[in-house]
Amino acid sequence: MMFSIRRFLMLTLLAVILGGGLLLGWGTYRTLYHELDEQYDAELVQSGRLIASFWSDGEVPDPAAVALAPEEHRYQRYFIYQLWQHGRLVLGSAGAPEKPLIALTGENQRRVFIEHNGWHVYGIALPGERWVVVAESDAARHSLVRNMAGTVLAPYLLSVPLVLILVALAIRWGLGPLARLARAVTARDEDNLTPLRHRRVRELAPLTQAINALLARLVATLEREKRFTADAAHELRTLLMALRLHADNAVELSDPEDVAASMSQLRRAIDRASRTVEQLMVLSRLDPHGAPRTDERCDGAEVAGEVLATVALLVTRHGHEITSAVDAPLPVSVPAEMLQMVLRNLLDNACRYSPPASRLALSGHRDGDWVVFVIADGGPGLTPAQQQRLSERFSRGRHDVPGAGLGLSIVQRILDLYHGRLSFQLPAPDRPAAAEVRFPVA
Amino acid sequence: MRILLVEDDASLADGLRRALRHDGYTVDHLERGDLVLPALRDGHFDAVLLDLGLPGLDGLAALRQARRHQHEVPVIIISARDQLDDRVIGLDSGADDYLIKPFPMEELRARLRACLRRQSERVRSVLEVGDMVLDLDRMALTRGGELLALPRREMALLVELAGHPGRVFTRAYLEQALYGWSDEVESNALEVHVHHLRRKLGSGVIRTVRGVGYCLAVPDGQDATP
Repeated sequence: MMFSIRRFLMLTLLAVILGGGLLLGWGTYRTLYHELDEQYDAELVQSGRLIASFWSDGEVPDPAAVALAPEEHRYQRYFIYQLWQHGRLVLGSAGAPEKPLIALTGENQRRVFIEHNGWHVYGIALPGERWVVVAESDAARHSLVRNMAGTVLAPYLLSVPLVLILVALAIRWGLGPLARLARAVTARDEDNLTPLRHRRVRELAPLTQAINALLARLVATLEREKRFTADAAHELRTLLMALRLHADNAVELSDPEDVAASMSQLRRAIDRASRTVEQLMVLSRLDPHGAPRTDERCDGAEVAGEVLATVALLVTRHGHEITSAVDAPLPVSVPAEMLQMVLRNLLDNACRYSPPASRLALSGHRDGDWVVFVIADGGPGLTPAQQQRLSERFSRGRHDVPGAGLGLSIVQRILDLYHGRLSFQLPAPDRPAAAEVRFPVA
Repeated sequence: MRILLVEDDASLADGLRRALRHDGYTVDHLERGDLVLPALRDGHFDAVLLDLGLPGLDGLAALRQARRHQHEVPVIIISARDQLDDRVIGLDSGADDYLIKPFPMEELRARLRACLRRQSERVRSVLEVGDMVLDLDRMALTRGGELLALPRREMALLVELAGHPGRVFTRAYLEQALYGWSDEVESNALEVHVHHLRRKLGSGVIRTVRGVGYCLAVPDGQDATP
């Protein structure tokens, strides 16, 4: 069964109301009983004294003077008295037992007060071995106290259903914003991701904020995907245009020089297209939502060696020279193919954007909790503004250099996935421009 | 006919330039949007092919800038941006046409011809001068029903002059129309082309206006187009 706030509140309140009522009743009963007891005991004592004062030695009072007619008063108490002289019952009220209610001894104890079996008994010893004994039953007191406690409790208990109805209404009213929020969220779909209206309900504020934050992230993700699709479409259209144009030119143009140039342009355009498509596939495989396995690791030195081998052709084609100094072994917590992609892209950029016959250098070492790779090149370096722009997709450093502008976005995506960092150094008199990439050590 | 090609994709620009040059156009190429206005200010262009995503200054901004400076040259936007909004904004910003990449070259050619035709307020693009028929669209010259092949620049010169028969074109204007920025121009190149044309088409076809330039002789009975 699902937890229900409404049911929980109703049951809790019911328990509190009833429990409170019982406590109140009990407390009232106890207090009243105690106070009445005192009061009535005092009266009993007074009655005993009164009788004693009217009983002079050798004379028997008239019983009629003290007897109360039955049912003369609602709270008429069951009151009896005995007058003893020399151990003999001189006078007893109606219903008084023939035996003394208390032990008629105690010369030194002139007054005796006991409570026994629901009876409150008071005895006064008088000169001449006389005793006045008065007694009263609890019953009347109990009935009085019960009545009084009932008077207090009854309206309280009678109001419980009404209170519960009001509470139910209050809960419904109080939970109203929640229901409306639920409806507002239900009404949202992939076409309507506008933030939820901010309700002036303090308890809902964190929920609304959380949902809105989620919506904002969703919108940002969708927007990014949309922009990526648009960017990719734009890039592919341009590529197709170039392919078509050069193919047409190769067929239609008559100048042999034009035809040869068109063929070579066509080949270059095909290279660029396949590279772009390949990189697009890589980027789409690097799903930002798929949590990467963090336990994957590789040896950075080994990967660096493989990458150097793959870029060797490109390096020589540009007339560059490359040196490498990578500490071995160099355990890195990133999968081998990802590190390979990062290093290859950075070396690729170094080759493409350095003036011909530059000195490139790849180094790798451990720096505390990080493994650092530095790719130094002979290029002009990247200003922060350029770095920002270049990590956007399809943005290219120079337009006379072939490339799709996807390399750094791929690098950035991998860095995001595997907690790596990338920074660029501008060239200084004592050192060349460099890209520095670091991953956590394995 | 001189065309300004503004395209930042080097490969595409190279292909377009070759194709258009083959058609007889003189093509000048820019990669940056912020250079469009200076180029239009410095020389005469018959049409501009404008990409939108350009370094320096976005194509649309460059177009608006040019229109603000009263440059009325026909502009065809060539862009991979295919959304309706892009096209509408492009045309509203002053473009005469909008082509979405990838487009077949034939379409660009046809649209370019249509633009040039509108610009010169001609309905047809076939010009008859005596027994010569010059098809401006196809850049084809026939004489007595026979196709006459002319070298690219001679044809370009003829087309330029035939665009407005009777109007005198200055030497500077004609030289610009025939040679792009990157072409080497010999000082007497124009005279050489005129000389060749006269030899092939008859000496009366092109008239020299001394100290000014050249014009296409209007045969009797034909009105000079404005």
